[in-house]
Amino acid sequence: MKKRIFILQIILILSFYSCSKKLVYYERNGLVEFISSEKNTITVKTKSFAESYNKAINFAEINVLENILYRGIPRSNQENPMVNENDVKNNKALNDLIYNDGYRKFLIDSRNVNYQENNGLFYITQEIKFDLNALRRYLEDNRIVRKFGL
Amino acid sequence: MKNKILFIIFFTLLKSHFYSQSSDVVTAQPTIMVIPFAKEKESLRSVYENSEILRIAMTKAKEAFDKRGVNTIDLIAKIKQTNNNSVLQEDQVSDFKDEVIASSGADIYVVVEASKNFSNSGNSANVILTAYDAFSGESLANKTSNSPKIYTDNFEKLVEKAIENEIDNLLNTIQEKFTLILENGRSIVLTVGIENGTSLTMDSEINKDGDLLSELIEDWMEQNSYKSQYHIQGISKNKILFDLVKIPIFGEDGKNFRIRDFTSKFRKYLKLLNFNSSQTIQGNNIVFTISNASK
Repeated sequence: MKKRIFILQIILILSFYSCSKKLVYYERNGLVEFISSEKNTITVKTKSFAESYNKAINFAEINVLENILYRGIPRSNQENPMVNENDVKNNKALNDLIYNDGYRKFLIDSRNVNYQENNGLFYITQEIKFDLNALRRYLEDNRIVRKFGL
Repeated sequence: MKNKILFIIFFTLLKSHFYSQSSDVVTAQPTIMVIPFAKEKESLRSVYENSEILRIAMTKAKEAFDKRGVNTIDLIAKIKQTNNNSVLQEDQVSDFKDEVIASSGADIYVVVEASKNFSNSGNSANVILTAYDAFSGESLANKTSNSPKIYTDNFEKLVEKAIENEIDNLLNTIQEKFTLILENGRSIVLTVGIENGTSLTMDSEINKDGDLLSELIEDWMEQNSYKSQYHIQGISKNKILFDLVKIPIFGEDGKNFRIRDFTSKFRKYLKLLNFNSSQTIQGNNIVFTISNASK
């Protein structure tokens, strides 16, 4: 009896392991492509993947935001980074903005261009539009960056 | 025990109060004036009045600065004011740009150049924006921008598009320069010369230790330039030229550090050495003339 229970346990563990999805952690990438800019807005296309469709979109949005903030988007109206990454480590307002959905206030549009499911992972291409002016004001109001001037 | 708790609460509140005060960031808002590109002997007003595309470009640039919350000075209003003050005479036209900038009180001036491009594949507009520090004349940022080629004669829209593409980048680059200036200080040029007809030279021994005048001046500069940043271009018998001396933007009290604060300190030091001095300040260029020890 004990042997049967033991085998059953092993089968359960193995089946649980095989059914469980791989967890994907966010990592910034440079797969960002400038699409267009209007007055105070920027539209950027990016690629991302995660174990769920919604999580992949969330990663894509964070990736675009981080690229705007820390690297700047080449050939766009925001070529320079907005923030010096080394100066703002563990800044609560910035962490809230990026990782606690704070950025949604400045997200004008986020539309899926393409997605594929492969081996339980969702690979997406997302077109994302941010309000740069409002974003900059948030950074200034929270003293993450200085207001324009000396 | 109660007292202890009250003390801890009081101390915590006090600490948070001071923290909130110390985190206040002082930002001096600079004023910007947008001016057209003018060739030598061309007055800004005539350039402005004779080019429609330039007027559009300047207005769009000004609009973009205003949107960013930057204080702008209107060129035409300033020219009218300058004319009303009879500052300018016809024969001074070649200095027009400098006169307007000097009298405007602008911290930064942005020179705008705009041109129309016609082609079979569509028309486009080209804009060149160059920002200068009015104080030192140093270039702060340069951007060129082209609008997309479109089959249209509406150059207003094309110029607007070209300006939109680069104006944020221009402001961001200026801000980066500001950050550098805040960190490293502002540059001035200082010449210290000996008045003609005096027996004093830069090689004169000044004190009982046998220190030369040039050595004492250099030591003072090392101690009083911001972060000890200075550079001597050359020393001659009657002149010492510092082609770079850094001074801070804000003084230790947090107030703006003016050139006068620096020159006043230097003048008092020369007085301590028993010298008379006169000074001329023009922009970031300072000339001190030392005369013989006063009796």
